[in-house]
This record gives sequence, C-alpha cells and structure tokens, in this order.
Amino acid sequence: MIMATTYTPLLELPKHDPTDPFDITKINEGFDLIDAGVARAYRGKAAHDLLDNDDFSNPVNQRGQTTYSASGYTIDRWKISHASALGTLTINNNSISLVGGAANAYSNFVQIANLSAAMIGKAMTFAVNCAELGIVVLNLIYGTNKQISTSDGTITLIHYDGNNFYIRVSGTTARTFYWAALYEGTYTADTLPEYQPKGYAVELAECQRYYRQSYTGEPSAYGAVSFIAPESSATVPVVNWDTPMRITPTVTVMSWGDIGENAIRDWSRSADVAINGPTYFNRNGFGISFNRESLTAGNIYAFHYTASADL
Amino acid sequence: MEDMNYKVYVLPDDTGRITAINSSAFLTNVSGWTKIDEGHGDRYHHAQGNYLPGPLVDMRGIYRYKLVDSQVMERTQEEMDADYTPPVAAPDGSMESLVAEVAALKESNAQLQEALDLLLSGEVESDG
Repeated sequence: MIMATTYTPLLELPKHDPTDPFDITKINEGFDLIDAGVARAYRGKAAHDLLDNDDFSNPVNQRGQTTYSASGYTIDRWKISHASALGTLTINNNSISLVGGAANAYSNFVQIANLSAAMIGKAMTFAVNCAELGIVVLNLIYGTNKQISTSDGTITLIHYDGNNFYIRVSGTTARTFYWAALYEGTYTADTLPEYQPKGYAVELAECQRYYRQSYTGEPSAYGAVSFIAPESSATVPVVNWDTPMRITPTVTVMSWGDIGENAIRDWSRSADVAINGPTYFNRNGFGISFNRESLTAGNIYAFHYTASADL
Repeated sequence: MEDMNYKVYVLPDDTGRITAINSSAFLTNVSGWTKIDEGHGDRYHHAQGNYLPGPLVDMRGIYRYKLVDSQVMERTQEEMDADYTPPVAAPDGSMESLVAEVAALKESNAQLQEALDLLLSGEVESDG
C-alpha cells in the first residue's frame, strides 16, 4: 500500500513513503524545495543595504523643505545634480516624487556612496521601488559605469564616476519612489532581498556624519547657540557634537537678522555683528574666536550654523 | 555629469592676514576673496577646515597665515606676537593693594557712621 505524501511543517518538503524510500522524483522535488526554501529564508537577512537615507517613506530631511528644485542637496545624502533641465523632488506622506524639468529633458537625483575601496570590482545591485513601475534593478560592477532604463524611458538607474548612484527621471511625468537600495551581489527584481528600513534614528545619526544644522526651516532665536561676552578676555564659543562628522566640515555661521550668513546676533542690542567665520574646526565641533574689543562685554550673543561634510 | 572640481579662496584683510578660507562649493559671492588653488576631493571641497595644515588662528586668536604674491604663507612668531594685546590686568591681590582697599573702605564706613549718628541724634532731619 502506498501512503499519501506528507510534508515537513516549515519548508514543506515531501516526506518519503516508508514503503517506497527511493522514489527519485520525490528526492529531486525535495532538493528543489530545499533550494527555494533556503533562498527564501535568507532573503533580506544576508544582504546589507549600502546606501544612506533611502527609506523614502520617512526620509531624513534636515534642510526642512517639502520640495526641492535647485541644484544641490535635498533630503539628506541625496542631491539634484547636473541635468538637462533641473527637476523637482517633492516629499509626500509615505514617498517622494521626482519629475524632470521639461519634456525631452531629464533630472538627476544622486547619492554619492562612501564605500570602502575594497568594494571596487564587486558585483552589486542598485534598485528602486517605483509606485508606477514596480522594482527597477541595475546590476553593476562597483566602479564601472553602467546604466539601465525602464521600457517607457522615464526612469534610468545609473552607476557613474566610481561611486555615484543616479535615479534619473525623464520628461514631465512624475514618478513616485518608496525606497532605493544597494546590495552587494547580483539580484533580479524577483530575488532582490526584501527591503528593510534601518530606522529613522539610525539614518539620522548616519546622515549627521555628513551634514547637520542647528535650526529647522529658517534660522530664528529658537534653539540658537548663545554666549555672554566676558569682561577681560577673548571669547571662543564652542559647539561640540556627540557623533564626529565624516571629516572636518565646512561650517557656515549665521544670524537671523539683516546680515544673515557670516554674522552672529547681538541679542542685547537686537542687531547683527558681521564675522569672517569660524576659526577652529575638527570633526567633533568648531569654535569662533573673538578678540576682546570685537564684542561688548556683558552682552548676550547668539548664532545658528550649518556644518557640511557632504560628498 | 557633475563638475567636482572645486576652487579654493582665501579672504585677506588689508595687511594680508588670511581671515577666512573656503571653497567654491560654499561661496556664492567671491568679491574680496582671492583664489589660491583648485582640485578634486575633500581638501578642496571642504577647504575651510582641511586645506591649511593648521587652524586659522593660534590659541590667542591671532591669525596664523598671510597671503604673499597669491601664495599662502605661515606668519612668523614675531609677526603674530605683534598682533597680540594682553588681557586687561585684574586687581593683583598684593598686600599693598589690599591695604589701600581696606583704608578706602574704612574711610567710607566712617563717613556713613557719622551721617547715621547725626540722623539718630535729631540734629539733622530726614527728608523721609
């Protein structure tokens, strides 16, 4: 009597009929299922996403704008780069939208990766999840230029100039993206590791190695760094950060009065005082040196800043 | 695609002391600035804190570099010392100054005591 086929509970492998243990069909079926089951079990667990701030459902956006259309950084680590017509990035509730600047033109949205030189020559997969077109995948060799376009031509993924990863959107039809990812290894849209967000706090800490600012939106008295000018000595107000930046950053000091950049606020007089900029820097913070004569002793001064170690 | 070549500028004062350094990536107006170099990478892109070998000022806040014939040079110790104004001397706390201070306080106290005695004796009426 031949018994009905039974299956293991997790991978659902067929168990052998004890009366017919050498059924080669069942043995091969078992291997195929093991192969697929192991691959499925490891999806998303063995792969590490090598990009930063690529969960577009909740991106780190220290610069605070809801739309960006100028050349330069947008949400952290991503910038609108040289393009035939600058497009627009819009932050939605659970995604971002990108649109080219004109018909028959394109806009580039780029992250410059900061990977070890040891990665050069390795096979990688750059992918995005687009609401309208699904998952788009570019298989590449790190350090070697390569690109791929969707069949409708509206999205092109590009690996360029060693460590640049571009999402290029062509034309005036907006495309919506949920995430981007870069994995070591070669995957298709079907075998790509399941996207796992790193979490906002982790992304923020990583992004602040590249950029940070002391205000949200526009500089104001709220949250400003303040100090009192002493009577008889030079003053060096110092800002320190918990997490060191990637390199010694470029620091821009600003007030919220009529001068703006390269000024501090004399809070006691409600007036701006022009300065040349910070004078001491390292990866952990910066200081501004004032000689005794340049400030009014006893007055309260304040300032905001941006610190960029962006690539 | 993107031009990653960055120009490095310094801002000299009227005596040639370098008061600021930055790159074309961050300067929107280079009026008054002098271009000294250009290139690729963090040293040029983030020149403010990475181009010069040391901080812009010493521990006293004195500028350490100068611009001579479009070349950045370190200032000599003598040049930097000449810029330094020592802090205003605080009271030195010596016995002589303390004795003088006590004498002044004594005199002031005596005057106050005399005025109080006059008021209490009724010889002088208060405006009260």
